[in-house]
Amino acid sequence: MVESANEVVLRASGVFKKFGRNHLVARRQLAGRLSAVLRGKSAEHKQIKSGDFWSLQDINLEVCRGEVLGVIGLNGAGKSTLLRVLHGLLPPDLGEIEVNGETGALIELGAGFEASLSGRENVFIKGALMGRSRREMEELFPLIHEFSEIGDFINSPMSSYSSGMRLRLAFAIASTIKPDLLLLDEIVSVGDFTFKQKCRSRLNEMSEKAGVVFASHSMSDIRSMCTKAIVLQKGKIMFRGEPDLAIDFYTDMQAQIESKRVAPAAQSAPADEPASETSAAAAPKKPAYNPGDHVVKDTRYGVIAIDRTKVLRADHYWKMDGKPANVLDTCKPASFHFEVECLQTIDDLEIGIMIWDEKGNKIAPITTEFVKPDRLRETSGKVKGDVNLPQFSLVPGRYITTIAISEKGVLLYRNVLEEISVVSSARPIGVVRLPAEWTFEVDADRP
Amino acid sequence: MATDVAQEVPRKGEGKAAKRRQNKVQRVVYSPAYRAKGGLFQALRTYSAEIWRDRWQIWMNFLRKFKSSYSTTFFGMFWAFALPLVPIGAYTLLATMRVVSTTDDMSHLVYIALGVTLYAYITAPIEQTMAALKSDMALLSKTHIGVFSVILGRFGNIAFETLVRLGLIGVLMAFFGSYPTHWQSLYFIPLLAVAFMASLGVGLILAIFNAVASDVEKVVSVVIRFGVFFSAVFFPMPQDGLSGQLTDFNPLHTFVDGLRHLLVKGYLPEWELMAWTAGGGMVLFFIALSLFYRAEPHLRASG
Repeated sequence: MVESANEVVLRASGVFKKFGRNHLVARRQLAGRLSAVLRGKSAEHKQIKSGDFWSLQDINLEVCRGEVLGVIGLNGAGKSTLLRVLHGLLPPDLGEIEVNGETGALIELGAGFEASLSGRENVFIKGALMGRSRREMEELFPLIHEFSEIGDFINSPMSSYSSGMRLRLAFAIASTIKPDLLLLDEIVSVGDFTFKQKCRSRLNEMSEKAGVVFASHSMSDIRSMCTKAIVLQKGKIMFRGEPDLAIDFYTDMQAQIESKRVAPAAQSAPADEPASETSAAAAPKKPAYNPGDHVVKDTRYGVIAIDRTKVLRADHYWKMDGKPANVLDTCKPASFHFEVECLQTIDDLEIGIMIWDEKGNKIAPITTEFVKPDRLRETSGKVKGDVNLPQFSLVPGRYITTIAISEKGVLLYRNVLEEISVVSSARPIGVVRLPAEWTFEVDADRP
Repeated sequence: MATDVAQEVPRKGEGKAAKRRQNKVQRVVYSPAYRAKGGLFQALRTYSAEIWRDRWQIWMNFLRKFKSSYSTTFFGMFWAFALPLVPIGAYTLLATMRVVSTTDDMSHLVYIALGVTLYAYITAPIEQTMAALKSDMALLSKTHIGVFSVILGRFGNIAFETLVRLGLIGVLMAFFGSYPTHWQSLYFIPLLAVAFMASLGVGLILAIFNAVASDVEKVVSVVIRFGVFFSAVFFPMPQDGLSGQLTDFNPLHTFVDGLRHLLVKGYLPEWELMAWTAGGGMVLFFIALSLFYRAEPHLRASG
């Protein structure tokens, strides 16, 4: 087989998977499937009986070499089931999955590891499960050991490993073996910052030669790592396309669900609470809102809200080197990209961004209040732009960004973004690295 | 479409290891009909490849289970040798006290020791196959580890206990002069393998049913506990009457009594019956293997 960029490594056509709501129904389903296959017939289940439910419905997708497919969805949407079906651990009830090549999977942390054996022995066992001989694994072992960064622990029983160490080793094995198709569940997102960076970098390397399916709740990971994405809801693909658009769709979907959930609470909330949001960019106070039009959710970093009569959607993320990023460098330029789609004309639109530290302290506001751009005096349709920072300035750590959009001081939209990590290519001291320009005067008269 | 390996194509080299490997990429199609039309040869080929692939893990599984059984005891390995001999000791005591009848064909100690050893060896695959699929279901449902690798990993202890008992039997034979004297006793070894496979076949079929209704393993447990008294393990079964006729339909009796006689005396008391039982056992094993091959993806997914 000659590897080519558009070679399909995974194809799912009309895949359905059914589960039972209780143990008895599951047994009944199993009995039905077994009775069919033992007679040499297909175990197709076309009908839903009492107690059955479709966990996946009409899944059609293709992943080519060089593609990273993001899978987004709320809890219970079917992400993990989809990965298990694609990995061949769950046979579909309808449809077909075709895999061309070897599959590596990190669906459940620690699956297949023998806790009583050392990390070294487990490397060989996992390798064997992926069809690698002992000799091949001996050749790959130094690479796996180096990537996992577990040092001398490699000779200790895995029962003494932390979950982070297990994850590092599992990822190191699955990615070093270089499968044609890599299936990753949320677990890659639970490692520490440095490990996440290594994973991303390795995934980028891998995605050039393999197809990757990556299920995650981290929108920044989806945005930065995936070439396309699908949004699952109740086992159905509700959206497929560019990661940015998929994230927008998912955010809207989440907002609608949240809206239904909090509607009764919103109706009983006071209507005339003053709105002091935008200038402070992120004050965690409940804003003024029109009951029913807003979605309100309290977080540690203030509310999440949207006035659906005026704002259709908004999108925003940090960029470094022109690309979406959730890791920024203290000493390098960064920018914050925003897009707002308005449903009505908005007068005196204000956009405020606040950067918070992990403890919930406001660190740095960036707001249009001080500059009052003409473009925002009367806004309709879609507004998009960037705030450019010549140097990000904040010292290494983790920060949270909030964005608020208001009209004449009345909050229209507020969101809490995912955590960003800041690293420094220079020595990190203090709280902020102010952009500074040094000038010197040399007194030439002194001897 | 139920294609396991529909086509194999060479793969581009990625380094020394990959080059050395037989670079072949599998095309796998998973569908509701996955393996549904799988036949015996496909099953044999797949399972033997899996066992070869997982050999290291099977060995490690055995070592782990073996070590963990005695790791927290004061006497450690002593128990590994003592416990397998307990059933032999208990029933030997009863025979010595004339609580159970004995046979004049051979020393009652050898008779009971061989009976217990063979019965435990033959029934183990039935019970252990069901137990393996139940206790290791989490592993089976989350990884592609070979199902036989899990099952065989559990037989390590059985193999060890059988060897310990055979060691004792060797000592008893030497002491009581009941040692094999005829070359035909060598047939004991292939027949032992046939008995194992027949029993494994029963275990595989029952494991399929047990996945749907766990009552199966309870019933099997009862049958095996009581079956020991109807299989000429401790004492010979009556040759006459209804019970004499029924023993012909008890394969456990046929294997235990036949193998014991074959080893000690060098002949089979009822070779036709043994031929039918062994032949039927092998047919059952192959049928069970095919059926299990078809059912396996669904059994694993039920975990």
